Amino acid sequence: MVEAAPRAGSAAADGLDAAVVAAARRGEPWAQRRLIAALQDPVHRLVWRMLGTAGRDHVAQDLTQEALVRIVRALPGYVEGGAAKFSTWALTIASRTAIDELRRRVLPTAPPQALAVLPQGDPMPDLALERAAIGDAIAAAIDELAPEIRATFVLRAYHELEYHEIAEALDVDLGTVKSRLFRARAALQRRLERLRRDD
Amino acid sequence: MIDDHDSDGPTTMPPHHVLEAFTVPTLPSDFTDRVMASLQPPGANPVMTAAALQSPRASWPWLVSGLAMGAAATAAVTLLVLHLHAPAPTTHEPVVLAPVPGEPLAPVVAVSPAPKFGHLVITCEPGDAIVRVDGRTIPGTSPVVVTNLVPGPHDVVVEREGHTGWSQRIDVPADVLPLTLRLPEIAAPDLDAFMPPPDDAAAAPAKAVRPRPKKSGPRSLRDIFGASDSGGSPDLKDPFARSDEPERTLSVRASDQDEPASADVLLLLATDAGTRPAEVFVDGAAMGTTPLSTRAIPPGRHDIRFRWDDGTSVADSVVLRAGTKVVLRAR
Repeated sequence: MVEAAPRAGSAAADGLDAAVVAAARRGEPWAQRRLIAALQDPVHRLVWRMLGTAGRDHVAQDLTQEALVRIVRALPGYVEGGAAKFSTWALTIASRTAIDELRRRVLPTAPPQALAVLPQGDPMPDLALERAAIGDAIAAAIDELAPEIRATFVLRAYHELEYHEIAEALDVDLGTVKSRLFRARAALQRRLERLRRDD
Repeated sequence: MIDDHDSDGPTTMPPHHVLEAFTVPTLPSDFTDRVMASLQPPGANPVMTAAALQSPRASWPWLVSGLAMGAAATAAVTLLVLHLHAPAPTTHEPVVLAPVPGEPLAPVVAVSPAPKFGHLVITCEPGDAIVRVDGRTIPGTSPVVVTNLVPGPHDVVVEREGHTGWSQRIDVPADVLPLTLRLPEIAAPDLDAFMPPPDDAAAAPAKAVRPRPKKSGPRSLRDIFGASDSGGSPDLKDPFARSDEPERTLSVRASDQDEPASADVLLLLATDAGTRPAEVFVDGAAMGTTPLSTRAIPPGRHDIRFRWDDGTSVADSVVLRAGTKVVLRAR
């Protein structure tokens, strides 16, 4: 009889075995590798989106790499079963890494991508083009936002963190989280409205 | 999608399918390796970043590194060819890691796990279970990580006092295999089930058993003192038993009787769930078939035997104290 019974909020509840996290904290390479493999995609998605159009090419990958290294090195500070889920704790570090980078230097924003290269014989080319245009509009909207507001928006829209989790991750109060989201949605709405008018 | 937490402002979050239009490319397949290399101490290996890989001006160090790596690769191939003709290596001792809070971890003796080894990560609910792999008891208690196992079948046993044990032959792959278990607690016996109804007690008096003198010969001693509950650790079937006969065990649990002080002994005799009823003999005299309860056994030492119809039996010599309630359970 084998049953999976992870505690809610524990590393195991995030799909990472608590023993693997514990082994990674001790510096065991096999556990660190497993941890990195589990976290690299969500961290990359967060970083890529926070960078907006500047995430193209190698910037997002390098920042993802840096965030993962920070996460692994910060493991001794993670409290199993504490207030934050493990994934939330890891995304906190990743978002702060991205904020630090965005503050440190002004990243060049890329021009709106040309029409996306569609695979031959794409059954719904118009839909694919429309989606690509929407994606660009969202990226452009994010370009307008300050780093902290970007982080708030991405954590809410793409990682579904609760307001209080975002507040704790970014070390701000709930009111600040709400006002930042308001501004992010306003920028997004303007971009999407412009896209609709241009169509 | 309306962001339910917003109570002010006309703007709402776009629907999910719109947000997902902002797609993210997949990471290269060697990205994990790149991050692992970044975790190496300074000077160990040059850190690979996407920028470094793309920059032509940074290529010279990579060229030198490439030549060195080429030489190393040649040496590695040579060693591999020699190794293939070498005698088979001895079995690799699994390295056991049992995290103990506050204690520094002992250095891993074996090399860092290579893809050819398997690793078991055993977590148990409740924790602090004893783990045995291939008959070897793992130091400490769960959760434990057993590394450097040769891929293939391994016998794993997990036990915890007061809980039903678990044992299984696990096919360990050349990878990390998490094993999460839940051990059900052994339920206390339903003593009411052993008590005869009041009417039956009057109609069929319990058999009187005359205590017999001690028999000589080897016997196990099981002294029961006062109200201490023996705990009744589960008797696990030995997964490595070669005999075809079922292994018979006897557990004893004693406590003070609930009713007001009584000088006699309340003896309850039963077999485990899933075990056939057995005939019970006290000091050689047949008492009947389980489940049985009797107050007719006087305090003192007695030989108790459970015998099944397949000829197997289990016996023990127990000391019964006055005023106690004793449960003998056999399987």
